Amino acid sequence: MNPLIVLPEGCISEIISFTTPADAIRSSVISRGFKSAAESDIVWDKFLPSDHQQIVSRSVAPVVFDSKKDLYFRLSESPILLDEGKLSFWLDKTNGKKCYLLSARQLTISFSDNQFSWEHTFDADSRFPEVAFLNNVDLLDIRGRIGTRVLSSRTNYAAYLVFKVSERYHGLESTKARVRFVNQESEYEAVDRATTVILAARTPRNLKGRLPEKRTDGWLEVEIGKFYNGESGDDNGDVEAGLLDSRPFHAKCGLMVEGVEFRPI
Amino acid sequence: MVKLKSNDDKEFEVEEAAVIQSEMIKNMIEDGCATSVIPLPNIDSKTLIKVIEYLNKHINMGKAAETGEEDDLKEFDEQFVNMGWEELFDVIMAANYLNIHELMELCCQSAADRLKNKSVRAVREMLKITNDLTEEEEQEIINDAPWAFEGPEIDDTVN
Repeated sequence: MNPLIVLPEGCISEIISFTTPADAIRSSVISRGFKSAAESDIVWDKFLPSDHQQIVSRSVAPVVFDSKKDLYFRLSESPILLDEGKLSFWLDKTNGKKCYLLSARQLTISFSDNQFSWEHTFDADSRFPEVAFLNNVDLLDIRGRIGTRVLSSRTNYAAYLVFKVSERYHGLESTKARVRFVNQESEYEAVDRATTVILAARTPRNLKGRLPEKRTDGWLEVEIGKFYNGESGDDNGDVEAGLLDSRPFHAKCGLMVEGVEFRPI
Repeated sequence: MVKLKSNDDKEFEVEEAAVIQSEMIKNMIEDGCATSVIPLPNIDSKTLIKVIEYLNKHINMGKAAETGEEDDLKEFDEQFVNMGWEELFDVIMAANYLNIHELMELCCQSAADRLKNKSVRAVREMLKITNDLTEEEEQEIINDAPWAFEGPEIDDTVN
């Protein structure tokens, strides 16, 4: 006798909702009954972040979907733009965790109001209307902040700078990178345990520091740092990912910033 | 005391404090529909005994947290779901019918843990399910999310 035939579809959906998105998708291939149970809103509503409706309501373009599963696929296959196009949001397809890319307009960048230092321009590879291009500064200071409450709880995250370099770059071979919880650690404390990243160098072999990696979207990324986002109950305030190069009389130029990305690892 | 009757005509007496963990019975009592014996036409005596065992153990859940008996309760839960598929599904159906939220969650979690990372073939074999999808239908699902069918974590063993 087939023991499962007796289980109502709602109960099968209930069971599948305690697994993972990958398990649910594989369940759809088991049989017709399982397919119908695995596609139910009961299942996919649990895999979507609890605040997904609020997030989707901030989308620049309307998000159209037929079911919760459809919405999950939509949000994990391509990012949506939120908040007048300054913030990009998507889901990690394997676990439904929240990912954000803060656009350059959403970052705090020193001297970004001075066009001889920084310029906001268009770039065809960008998902945002504008990116920031570094013409020339002595003090390179880029920070991206996000509330820990809008990230997924009980999750290990990493922050990345998403960028490109122009051919005529300079002074990008030794930048300090750090992530801090703004309420818990001062800037000075965070600088003490900062690591070094090499945004660009012509002879990286002689240098010590983390190197960037190529992404599939035409940009480079370098990890700024990692952090653990704990229970949603203990409010950790904002988390800040920052890059700093304050070596004086040392011009920096040729960096194009798409944004700062927070995603689970 | 409340009297419950299984579909094989066996009667069980349960303390009201235990039985009202079932939303369905709680509503019946509140509506005054539970004067004599409550018949449960969907539940056999074997399953009902399991459910009553659970209800009695969880009767003082709130107290357990105060007196540090949480570990004891956790151990009970672990032992409780240590049963075969058929028995587990019977308890799930009973919990669903009686609307006992915590029991439903416990059993569904246990079933989910057993299915986690299992290959399609393994689940079909474990639960003795015959595939009634066409090859095209199957392929369509796989093409939509090939990543869910790849990876070293996928477990093809049946146990």
